[in-house]
Amino acid sequence: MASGQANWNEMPAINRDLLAPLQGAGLGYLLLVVLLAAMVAAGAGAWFYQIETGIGRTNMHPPIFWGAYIASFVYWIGVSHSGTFISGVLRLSKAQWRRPITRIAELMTIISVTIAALCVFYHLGRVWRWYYLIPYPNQREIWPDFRSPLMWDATAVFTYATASSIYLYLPLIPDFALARDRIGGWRRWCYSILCLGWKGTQREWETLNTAIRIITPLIVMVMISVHSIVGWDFGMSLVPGWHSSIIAPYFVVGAVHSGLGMVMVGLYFVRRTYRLEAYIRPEHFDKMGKLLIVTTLSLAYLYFADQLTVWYGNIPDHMAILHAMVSGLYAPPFWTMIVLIYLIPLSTLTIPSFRRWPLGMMVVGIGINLGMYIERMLIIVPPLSRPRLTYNWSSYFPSWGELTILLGSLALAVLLYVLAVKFVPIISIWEEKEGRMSAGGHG
Amino acid sequence: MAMDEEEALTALFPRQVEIDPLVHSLREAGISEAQISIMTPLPLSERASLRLGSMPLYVITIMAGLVGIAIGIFFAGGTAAMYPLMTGGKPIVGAPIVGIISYETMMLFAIVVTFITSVVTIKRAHRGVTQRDSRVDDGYVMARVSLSSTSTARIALIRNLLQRAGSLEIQIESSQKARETQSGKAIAVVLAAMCLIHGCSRDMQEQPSYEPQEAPRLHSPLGAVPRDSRAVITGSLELSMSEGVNLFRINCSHCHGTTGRGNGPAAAYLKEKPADLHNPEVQTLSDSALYDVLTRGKDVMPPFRGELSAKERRSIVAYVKSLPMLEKPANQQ
Repeated sequence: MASGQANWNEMPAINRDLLAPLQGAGLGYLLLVVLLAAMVAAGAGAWFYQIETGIGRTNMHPPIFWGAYIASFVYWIGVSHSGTFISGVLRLSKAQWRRPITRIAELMTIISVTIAALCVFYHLGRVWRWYYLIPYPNQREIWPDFRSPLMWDATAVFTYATASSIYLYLPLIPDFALARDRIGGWRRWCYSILCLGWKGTQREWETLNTAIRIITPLIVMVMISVHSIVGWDFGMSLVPGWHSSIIAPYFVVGAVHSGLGMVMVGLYFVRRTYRLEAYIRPEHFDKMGKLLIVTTLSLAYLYFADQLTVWYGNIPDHMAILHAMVSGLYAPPFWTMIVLIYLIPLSTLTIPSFRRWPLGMMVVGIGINLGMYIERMLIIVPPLSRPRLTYNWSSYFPSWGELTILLGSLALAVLLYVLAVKFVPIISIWEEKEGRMSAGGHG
Repeated sequence: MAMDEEEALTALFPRQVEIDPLVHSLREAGISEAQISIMTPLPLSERASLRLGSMPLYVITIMAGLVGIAIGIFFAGGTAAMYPLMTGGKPIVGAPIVGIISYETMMLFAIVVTFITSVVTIKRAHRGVTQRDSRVDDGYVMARVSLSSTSTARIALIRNLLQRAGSLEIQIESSQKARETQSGKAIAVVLAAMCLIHGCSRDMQEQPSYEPQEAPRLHSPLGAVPRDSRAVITGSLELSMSEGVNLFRINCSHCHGTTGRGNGPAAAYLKEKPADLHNPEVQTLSDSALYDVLTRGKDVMPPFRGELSAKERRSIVAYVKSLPMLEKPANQQ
């Protein structure tokens, strides 16, 4: 710390800037909360109606027994990889530019996992019997099927949700201590409990650093296992179009792809709303854009390799699905997806000046997420709608009820985020300080 | 309740302070490192090799991971061992699955235990540190020196050292800390929670399932008219042999075999072997006795009351009765 001392004088300004989002709420903010809450209420109403009248209210029917709920589950688990990937992988590689982004992404992780879990419950139908999912000893000796990837999935998602909550919380402890001293009201009480009486002694810092250093590689490993297992939910079946050994890495890369896109959207709005231009700078968008190029190319490569094998194998029941997507009933969504998640990112993000344009990056991020949602639907619907026996070939589009519930859950995700911004410093304050001091110290 | 008498000096330093010389001079004055706490808004070093006693934190992580693996194997592998049910030629929990589930429990335990240990360590690390100026977050540095011997000369010496290092404010706290044992409270809370759990519904454990040897549930009252033909055959009965054959193949052949010899594909996985239907013990039973077995089930054989109508069950009985006659020509050949 010998030489970076001039920077220590910046600290009051950093505190002020980064705590500002927590304070006050304008009319626009309140209106947004009310609007989102109304959408959430509509979704909740639709869900209640579905529970009341039965799962038949959805458009799911034989042979399409998985629909938009499961597609949304896969999608939200995918988005949740944003935080872990950015925070975990960049922390591991000691990338300094991660500092203003980690918290924004980690919050997304935890909220997305919550929404993903909710999607499972939408799909359950008789949701009050949810405890049948838990392996518990009972008189009838009925056990959930351990061989089913759904069982592994539940284990993995639980581990991931727990681990990513811890991973969000640990670096928050010093920031909660800071907020405790500077923010009054009911939040002060919460902060003083959550900060564990943090004092900032060197032993506390070392404990925190050690814990983060140990947990980071572990959570990256959990993250990879989670979406692999979600992929195996499909890959372990013998359904043409799902039964592929490449599906696990494909899912993981796809998840990181949509997660990065989502973080871009979050970065843009946080930066714009709270005037954090000094912290979230164009170079952060630039670095994220480069990462997105990597995921776009990897994803395209995996997808092509998978479909090429199907095409060359030319097995009739597999080809029925490929034809339905490329030139048949599902061609419009298929080509939209190709454009949104491969062509647009590749043609824009490779231009350096585009990568430094926040608005453009945000739009590409939204496009990627839209495309990835379509991709999730295309993973589920076409293979199910073209079973090996042709007598019940069919198609699927979500019903109004399903759409309302899913829009409600999207609104819930945004609402939780908007509320969280008022409780959690959206940029990790001590890590930002640490980054600036060490930058000052080493020239 | 343990009483600790302690005197401590807390000094606030401006941003430009040099910490290392101060710590050095304090050490020279005979203050051990454990007595000095330096509070900063960010870690002064990137050191991340915390030890609890002589044990590095990662050893605890590894041990927790091993416990997690053991728990995963215990539940997933234990289920496979205790319920050797074969489905589709595979055990209920295969070895790769035990691996996947143990991987997740390993991660869960490693991460959660590391977290809990860190939280406890953080809580213990600042025990006794009661004050923290909020200016620390603005870049100021706070140093706290706790003194075991409380002679005024020594306090003056330390105060002098702190002042020379450029301290802005120095406070002396003399505290009689009453350390309350929190474990007592925790135990009380856990006990109270356990009492509450006892109040939970026990429906799941006591579900009304059919016990072995239990008397049959009450039949419908005498003279009651059935709503459909599931239980009672009305009118004359014309049994077709082909229906019996088909239904036997669909419903019975998995266990009893297509020839009724009790050697169906599922038979190998059953704890109790299915009956050989050619056996005189079966063949000497009356039609209605066989019908009764089919209706209510027997041992591991499920009841077909819900699956098959009375007429369908009669057709199967007729087919079963005809099995020895069907096989005779084959034996003679």
